[in-house]
Amino acid sequence: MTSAVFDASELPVGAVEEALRSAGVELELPARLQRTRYDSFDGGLWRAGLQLETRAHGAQAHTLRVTGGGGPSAQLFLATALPQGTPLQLTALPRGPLRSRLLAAAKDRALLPQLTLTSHRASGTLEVDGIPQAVVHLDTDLEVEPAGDGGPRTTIEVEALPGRDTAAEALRHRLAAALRETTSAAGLDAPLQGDGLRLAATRAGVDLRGWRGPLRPELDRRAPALVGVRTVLRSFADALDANWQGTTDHIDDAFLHEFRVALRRTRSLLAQSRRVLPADVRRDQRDAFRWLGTVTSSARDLDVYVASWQELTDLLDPVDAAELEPVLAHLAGQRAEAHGEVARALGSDRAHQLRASWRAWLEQPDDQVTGGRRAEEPLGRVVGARILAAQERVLERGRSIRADSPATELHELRKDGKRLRYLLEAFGHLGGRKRSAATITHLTHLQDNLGAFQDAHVQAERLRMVLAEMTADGGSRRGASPRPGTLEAGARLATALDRQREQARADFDARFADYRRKRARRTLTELVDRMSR
Amino acid sequence: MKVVATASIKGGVGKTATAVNLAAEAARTGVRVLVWDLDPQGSATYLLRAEHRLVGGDAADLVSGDAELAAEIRATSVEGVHVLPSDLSLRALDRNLDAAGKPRRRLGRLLVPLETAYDLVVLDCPPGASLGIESALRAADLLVVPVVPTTLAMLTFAQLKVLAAEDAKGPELVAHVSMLDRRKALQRETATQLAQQDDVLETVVPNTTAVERMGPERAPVRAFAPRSPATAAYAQLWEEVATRLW
Repeated sequence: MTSAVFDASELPVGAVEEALRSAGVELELPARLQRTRYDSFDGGLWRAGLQLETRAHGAQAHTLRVTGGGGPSAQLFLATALPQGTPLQLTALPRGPLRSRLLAAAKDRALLPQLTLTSHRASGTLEVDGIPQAVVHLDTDLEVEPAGDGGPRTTIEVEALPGRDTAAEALRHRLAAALRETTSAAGLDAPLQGDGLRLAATRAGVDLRGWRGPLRPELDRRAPALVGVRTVLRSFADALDANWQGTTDHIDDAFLHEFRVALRRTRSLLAQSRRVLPADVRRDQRDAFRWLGTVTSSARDLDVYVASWQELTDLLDPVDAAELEPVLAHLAGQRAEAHGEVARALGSDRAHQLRASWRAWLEQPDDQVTGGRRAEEPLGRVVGARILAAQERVLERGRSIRADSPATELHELRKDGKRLRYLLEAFGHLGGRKRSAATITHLTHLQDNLGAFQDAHVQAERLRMVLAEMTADGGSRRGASPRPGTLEAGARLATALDRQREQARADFDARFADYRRKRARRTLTELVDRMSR
Repeated sequence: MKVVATASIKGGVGKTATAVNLAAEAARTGVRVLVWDLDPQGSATYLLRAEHRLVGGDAADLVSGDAELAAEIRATSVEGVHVLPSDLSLRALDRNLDAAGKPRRRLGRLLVPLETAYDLVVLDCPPGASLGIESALRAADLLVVPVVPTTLAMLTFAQLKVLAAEDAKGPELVAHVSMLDRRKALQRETATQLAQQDDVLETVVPNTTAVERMGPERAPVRAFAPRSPATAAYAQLWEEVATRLW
C-alpha cells in the first residue's frame, strides 16, 4: 500500500473539497485527529520496517496502528488514550501477534513518543460499484510537536489500496486537473516524499532512526595517541550522555545497560592510557567514574536477575517455581530501591559536575592538551602494545588457574578479558576489520564461559542472601516470613545454579586451551603488527 | 501465521458470516487478516467489497502456482483485513487440486509465502465434504464449524468430525451455535445439548436482523450495528478462537 502526500497549504479548502467531489470522493465531516509516532530509543521498529502510531480521534476512539512488514495495517483499539509524552511499555499490550511482533522488533525496549501531528482530518473513499479503490485524507490546521521549520498547514494524502495503484494514480490526476481548473494551482503534480508523519519528522529535526550509537569514530593509526584516545573517549561520553536521562528515569533496562557499557569502556580506556593522557586527568576521572560504576552496579545486577527470572525458574518444576514468587517480589523491591539510588546519584551535583568537567576536557582542542610521555607516539603503535600486554595478562592468569583456584581468580580473568576486548573493539580495526572481528569472536568464546561461571556464582550467592534477608526480616520490613516451601525451592534453585557453575568450570579448561592455541595468538600478533606499522 | 477454516457440510448455517465477522473482530485486536474466499458463490468477497473474480488467471493457475497468490489480494472496507477473492472457476477446485498433485497439502503450501505479511488467514470454505475441504483442513490450525441448533445440522457436524479425524494432521475442531432463534423451544433445547459437548464453544450467535443486514450493508455487523447482540457474540467468539490460537 503506497501513499502520496501533497502540500495543499496554498489551496482554498473549499476548492479541494469540490475537486474531490468532482473526482468521485465525498469527504466525511472533519474531526480532530492526533497522531503520535513511537519507536524505541534505538529505532528498533524502524530497523524492522515497522511504523507505530497512536491515534486519538476527537474524544472518541483511541487506536494503536502499526504499518509495515507486509500485509494490511494492524490496528488495536485501546480502552483509553495513552498519557501524552509517556513511554509505551509493550508488555502492557494484550497478548497476541501484534505484541509479539513489536516486542521482537523493539527487543523488549520501551517505545518513546517521537513526534505528534495534530490536524483536522476529513477522509473519503473512492468507490466503484461499492468497491473501494483509494482513500483520501484532507488534513487541515496541521501542527507538529516538536515544532519544525514551517511545513504545510494543509495536506492531501491519496492512499492506494492493494491492487489499486492505478486507481489511486488516476484519482490524483483527476484531482490535479479539477484543481487546476478552479484555482490555477499545479501543486498536486509533485507529491512530497514520504508519508505525512515522516515529512513532519524531517521538518522537526526528529531522526526517526533513533540512537545509533555508540558509533565507532574514524581513527588514524599514525595520528598521535593522545588524539586517538580522546576521540574514542568522546564517543564513549556521547553514549553516556545519550543514555543518561533514560537511565535516570529507568524507562527500560537497556538504558542502564548501555550506560554501564559506556562507563566500563571509559574506565578501561582510562586505565590503559597511562603515559598517554595527562596523569592528573586520568587519576581524577578514574576515581569519578569508579564512583559512577559503584552506584549503578546493584541496579544492573538486579535488572539482570529479574529479567532472567523465568529462565532461572525453568530449572525447577512448576510447583517450586511458584513457591519462589515472594523471592521475585523481594528482588523487585530491591531493584526499585536500587534504581531510586541510581536516579539520585545521576541527578546529584557530583554527577553533573563530573559530566560537565569531563565533557569540557574532552572538547578542549587537542593542541591545548598536554599528554603523557607517549602522547605524541602513533596511536597504532601505542594501543598495539597495550593489546599485546592485555593479551599476555589473559594468557598468564588463565595458565595459572588450577582445579582448586577460587572463583575470584576466574572473575579476575574475565575482567582481564574484558579489558582486552574493549581495546580490540575500540582500536582493533586499525589492524584490519576482518582480523579484528575474528580475534574478538575468539575471545568472546572464552568470555562466554567465564560469564556463565560468574553469573551462576553471583546468582546463587544473591539468592542465598535474599533468602537469609527474608528470613531475618521476619515480616518486619518487606512482608511475612518466607514459607518453608519457598526456602526449600530457593535452596533447590541455588543448588541448580551451583551445578551450572560447576559445569561452566568443567568446560573452562577446554575453552582456555582453545583460546591459547597458536594460530589464534598469531592472528592477534598479526593484527597488532599491522596497526603498529 | 495461524490459519482458521470456517466449514460445514451443510449450507446456510452462517459460515460466511462467521468468517467475515471473525476477521473483522480479529483485526480490531491488532491482527493482520487475510480472508481467502474458497466458495465459488463469493459471499465473503461480496461482503468485504471486492470484485468476484481473479485477475491474473483462474483457480487452476492459483493452485498450480502459475498465478501469484499475493497479486490477487485486495483491500476490503475493513481496516486490517485483506481478501483473496472468490472466482467462479473455484467450482473446479477439487479437480485443480488433484491435477496439481499432493492435493491435501496444496492450500497450505500456497500460503507459505504470506507468512510474514499476515497473522491470520481465514479460509471460508464452500459447503460439502470435498477434496478442497480436506486441503483446507490440512492447512488450518483450527476448524470453526457454525452449527444451527437443529437435528440435521448436528448430524452434519458429527460427519465433519469423522472427516477431520481421518487425517492425523488435521486441525483442532470446534463448533459454535449459530443463528439461534430463541423463540423456538426445540432450538433452545438443542443448543443446550450442544453446549455440553467439549468441542463446542460457549459463544452463541443469535439469529438477528443485524446478521441478515450484512448483505445489503456489505460489511461485518460491527460496521453498522456496533451495539447489537450479534456484534457482541462475534467479539466473544473471536476471544474464544484467539485463546486457542495463541
